[in-house]
Amino acid sequence: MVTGKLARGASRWLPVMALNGLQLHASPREPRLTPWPQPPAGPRGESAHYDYCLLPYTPKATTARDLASVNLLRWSWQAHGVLAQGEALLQRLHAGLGPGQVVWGIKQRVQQPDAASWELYFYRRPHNPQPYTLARVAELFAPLVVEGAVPDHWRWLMFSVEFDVAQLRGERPCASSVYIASSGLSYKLRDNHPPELENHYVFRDPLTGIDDILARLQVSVHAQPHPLGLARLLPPQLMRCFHVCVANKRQADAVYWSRVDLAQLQFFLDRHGWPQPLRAQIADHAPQLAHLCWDLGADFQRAPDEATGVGFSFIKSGIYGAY
Amino acid sequence: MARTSMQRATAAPSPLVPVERTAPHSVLVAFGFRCNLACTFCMVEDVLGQRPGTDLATFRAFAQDPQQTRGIRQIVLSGGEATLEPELLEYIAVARSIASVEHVRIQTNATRLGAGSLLNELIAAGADEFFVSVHGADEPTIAEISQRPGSFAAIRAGLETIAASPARLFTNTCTVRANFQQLTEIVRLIAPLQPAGMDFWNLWPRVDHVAMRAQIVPVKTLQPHLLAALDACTAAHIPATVKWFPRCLLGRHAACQDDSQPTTLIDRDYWEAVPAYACIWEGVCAHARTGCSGLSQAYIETYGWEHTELTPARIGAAGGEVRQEAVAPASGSVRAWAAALGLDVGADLAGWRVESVAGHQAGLRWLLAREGVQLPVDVRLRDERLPAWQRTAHLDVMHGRVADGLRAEVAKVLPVFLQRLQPAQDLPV
Repeated sequence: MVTGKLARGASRWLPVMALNGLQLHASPREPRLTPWPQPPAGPRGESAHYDYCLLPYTPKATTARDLASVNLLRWSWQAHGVLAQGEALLQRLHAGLGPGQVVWGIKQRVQQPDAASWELYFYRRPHNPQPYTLARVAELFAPLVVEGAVPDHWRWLMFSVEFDVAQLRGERPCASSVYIASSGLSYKLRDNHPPELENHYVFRDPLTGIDDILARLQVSVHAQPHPLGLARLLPPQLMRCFHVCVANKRQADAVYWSRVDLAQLQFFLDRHGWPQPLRAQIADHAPQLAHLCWDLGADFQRAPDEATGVGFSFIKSGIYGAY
Repeated sequence: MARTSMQRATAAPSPLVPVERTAPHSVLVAFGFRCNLACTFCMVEDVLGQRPGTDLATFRAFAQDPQQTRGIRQIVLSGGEATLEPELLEYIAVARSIASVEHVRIQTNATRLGAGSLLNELIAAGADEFFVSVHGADEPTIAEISQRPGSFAAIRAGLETIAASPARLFTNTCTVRANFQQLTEIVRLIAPLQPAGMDFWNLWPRVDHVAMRAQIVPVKTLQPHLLAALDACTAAHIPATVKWFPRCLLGRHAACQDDSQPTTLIDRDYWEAVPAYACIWEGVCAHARTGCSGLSQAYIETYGWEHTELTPARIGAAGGEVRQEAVAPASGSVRAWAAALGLDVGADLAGWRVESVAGHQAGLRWLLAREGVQLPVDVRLRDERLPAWQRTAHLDVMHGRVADGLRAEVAKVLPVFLQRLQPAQDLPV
């Protein structure tokens, strides 16, 4: 059982860092990154802070030394040896779409530190400098290849492009997905294939919408009616958030928490066993990341009760931000 | 959703400046972190022998600041075992130097009070209330919990000596696995001493955050024993208070539940380990808005959210459907006071009827009703460090959440309520 004490794991390894210096967790193969600063607000008063739905939020008290959330994405790329490719992609997207347009996600398979993937999300929002399309974003991804197309008549809210190390290195095409407005539905898009229903999302206020959240989890085929199951799916440490999202996926279900604070992010990364180097980077820079809100998600799948104690296990988790 | 029920106070920088107050009439001063027992659930176990607590000079500076002490009616002196503190008499004197203080309470295990001489000294110095920890009804239970065999006899002697003194006796029982089956026995032990009150505090896992000591009792297991003990208190005319146990599970005794704590003067570091509380029904339950903390995170990690066992008091259309049993019925003097203001039960306020007036936490609660919708309005002594909807010269007024469709109606009644409250200079509590 992962306990609350483990959830306070930062206090366990912070002293270790202090003893070993800041280079302890950096990859021996790559130099220590210079973190990117928090970008300023837009010229027309656009927010500098967006959640994973690309909706603006008010940060906690800011300082001149604040860092951008996207540094987590860079640290993750660095740990997997694809920093140069990732940063080049970010720069192309930034140049082509403008600031504050890209939501990023890091996905980590449980107990597989090398099995990370990333996803970039592009929303249709009022602060978009100009309308853009998957085709336009695919051009910016080049030389990476993005599969799929979004016809003009689709009422899309967002599309995304997901990739792993090999895809970021250009060894395979990247898959894309589209999210249809007001439906909660997303579809996987691949060349020469019909759209494939992928996920269904429902967002609720964790306070006033708790009945709906519980109802959706109670009908999940992956969540068993174990007394501790709900506490694992909805840990109290994360329930002070903006929205809880329950998602039904093809082979798993998932819970997401939006706009959590840094302590909650660290709790989450610890509980889900994220690679120590990334957690250490976050701890190193905690004061400069504390102004940000973060978004989190965890996929869970039915599993033998005797193995998990609660009848399901978490198979993947993700953290999200915007840049 | 996670909350802490105790509010923060700070011991640094000096002088002490309470950030918030939950019980504005009462201030707890924590000092002398030593103890002659070693209770397995001690809330200050980690600071015993490690922290000085609030030293006398700091407390004196606090006491001499009229801004800090305004409205304080009770000072609670606590440790550790406060009676081990050599300067305890001076702490009492400082407490009594605050003009508004009516009661000085000593939190103690009473093991050193049985002989009577120390008790007499404390009473002579100004202590008039003793809040005694009684965590079992027999020697084996007390010995298991306190880890000091033989302490039961000393506690019992102390209790009897206090009961025979002019001071008022209160007791506190922390409910844990070792004693939950004998709560009624504890009431039977104490009742002949005619205590002024008995508290039952469900385990507050400040030190054992992950419940490694397995002392937490599932709420449904504890519930019948707790209710029986509360029944016994009622039968013996002993006012009872329950803390950190969900109010919705207390049924007929829901009015006993009160998770509020005095403002506490203690080292800032103490609060780093305060356990967080949460309830899955927090957003839809009226109890959560009126002080029910729910369950500790340690509990939830151990036994789950108990979402099928807890029964939220669903918030109604005006956001204020509060079960009657959540508040204590008002006494005749309160009703007379309210009547003088035109705010007694039955009074008409712009089409709303005063349905009840009752003691609630540190103040009073009115329930205003109109066409099946209830609107709770809480009044307490004015304290500008706390949020309030409106303030009169002497009182703070808060009201429940209002549904959009009723805002216009509520906007009519609240000014009328406030206008009638204006002459009041104090609360009859």
